[in-house]
Amino acid sequence: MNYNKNKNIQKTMNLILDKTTTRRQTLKGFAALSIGMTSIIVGNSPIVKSGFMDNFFNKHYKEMTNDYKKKLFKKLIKNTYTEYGVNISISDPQPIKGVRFAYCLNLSKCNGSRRCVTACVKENNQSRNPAIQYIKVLEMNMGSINLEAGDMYYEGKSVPNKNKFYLPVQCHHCYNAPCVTVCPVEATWVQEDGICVIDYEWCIGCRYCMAACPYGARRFNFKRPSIPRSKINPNQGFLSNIIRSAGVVEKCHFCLHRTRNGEYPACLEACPTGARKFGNLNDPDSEVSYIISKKRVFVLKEELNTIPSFFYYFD
Amino acid sequence: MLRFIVLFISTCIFTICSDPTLNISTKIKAESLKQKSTIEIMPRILFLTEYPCMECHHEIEKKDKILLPLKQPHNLMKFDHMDNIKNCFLCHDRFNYDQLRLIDGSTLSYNNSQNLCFQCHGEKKKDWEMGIHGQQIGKWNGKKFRDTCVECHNPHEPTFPQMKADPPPPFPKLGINKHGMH
Repeated sequence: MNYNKNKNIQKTMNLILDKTTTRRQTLKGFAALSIGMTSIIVGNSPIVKSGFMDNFFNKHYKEMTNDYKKKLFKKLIKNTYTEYGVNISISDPQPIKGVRFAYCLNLSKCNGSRRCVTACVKENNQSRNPAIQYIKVLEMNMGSINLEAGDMYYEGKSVPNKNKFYLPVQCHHCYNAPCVTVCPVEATWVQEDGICVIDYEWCIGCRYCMAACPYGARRFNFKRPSIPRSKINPNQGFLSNIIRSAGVVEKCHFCLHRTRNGEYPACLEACPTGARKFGNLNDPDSEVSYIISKKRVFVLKEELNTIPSFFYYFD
Repeated sequence: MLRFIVLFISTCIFTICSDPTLNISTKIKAESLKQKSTIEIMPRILFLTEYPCMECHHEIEKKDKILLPLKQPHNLMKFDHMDNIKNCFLCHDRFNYDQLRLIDGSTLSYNNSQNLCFQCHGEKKKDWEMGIHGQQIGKWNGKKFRDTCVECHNPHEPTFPQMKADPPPPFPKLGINKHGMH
């Protein structure tokens, strides 16, 4: 009986298609038809229409021409407007020739106020839930520089607490960065002025860089970042603070949309004690050159030979 | 043997000449990058609520000492700047309350009060002038703004005040060792 049924189907197919078909060909036809219909339905679904898959075909930042960048920025601005209703501007400042950035932090002055953390989150459109903060302020006991014993969850009702000192840690923008060496897709690299950048559209989210970083400076977006609409910073830079998607790694980028235009990073401006100093190492009149030549600076985990651009000192 | 020596010396000379780090022009490049950055000190007088002092103190009685406690509006001041400083006229000008007084008797405006502090705190002078003591905002390659000492240090009670820190990051659900290893 089944055999006859199948034969009937075949006969109708022959009549429709006006040629003899085999069972195999019929099945292939059904498979092709079903794939075609699914792709039409998926293509029109709200997920794809929201631009989720758009960046799959993006080029790597290093291969982008200026025209391509303009089109891409327009698309990103439009996407942000559709999703958040906020008009943003995306800039792409290039490294200034002859500049090599460095950051110096005075540990005698840092009182653990965490104002730098809050200012960074405000400036760089980081996810509030789950909360991502580029800067970790570690509360350490006097007399030790053991990073693993530092407490980043300290309650600060009245800082500085007795017999403690505070060590803020963020991306050190190493000359010899291990995160750059291990990235399998070259989504992160160090630019000429020393800033280690990430191309968020190219990152595949494998998190090798997070395993490689000895300072624990990188953060991962496990979920889609949620930022309240009123807290979005509309002055964005493509390699710095555009709104990221789920599944990409992000970290401190020395606020390159500000610093490459001559301003100080947001963390420096927020520090109430003036413990943070930033500038151009190649300029002999800058604060950082003075600090490195006159103060006893040190770097963290020097034995790993990462050669960071972030220096600490006690006054 | 001679050939080897000549070859060795010529290779050395070749590598030295082609080594870019020994190029003298890099030093000249650094010199040309020196940008003159102007520094503006925020005027302190704008933040003084009771300035100018001579409006109230137009008749200065000849006093050698000022007795505490002070009258309104100076009655809420606390004095904790070294135990043996009891003489207000060490820093304040006796005849013109709108000015401060240096050790040698010369007067000083409130806008330049840092020179008064540097008389005793000389170790902070160079640091402040280079911009590494205290907050300095503006542009790293252009105009910078900094404050006088009293913006952060109350001159009569100079210890930097304790603050309330911003809240800590959320502790992960499956995390262990909340407050460090020890």
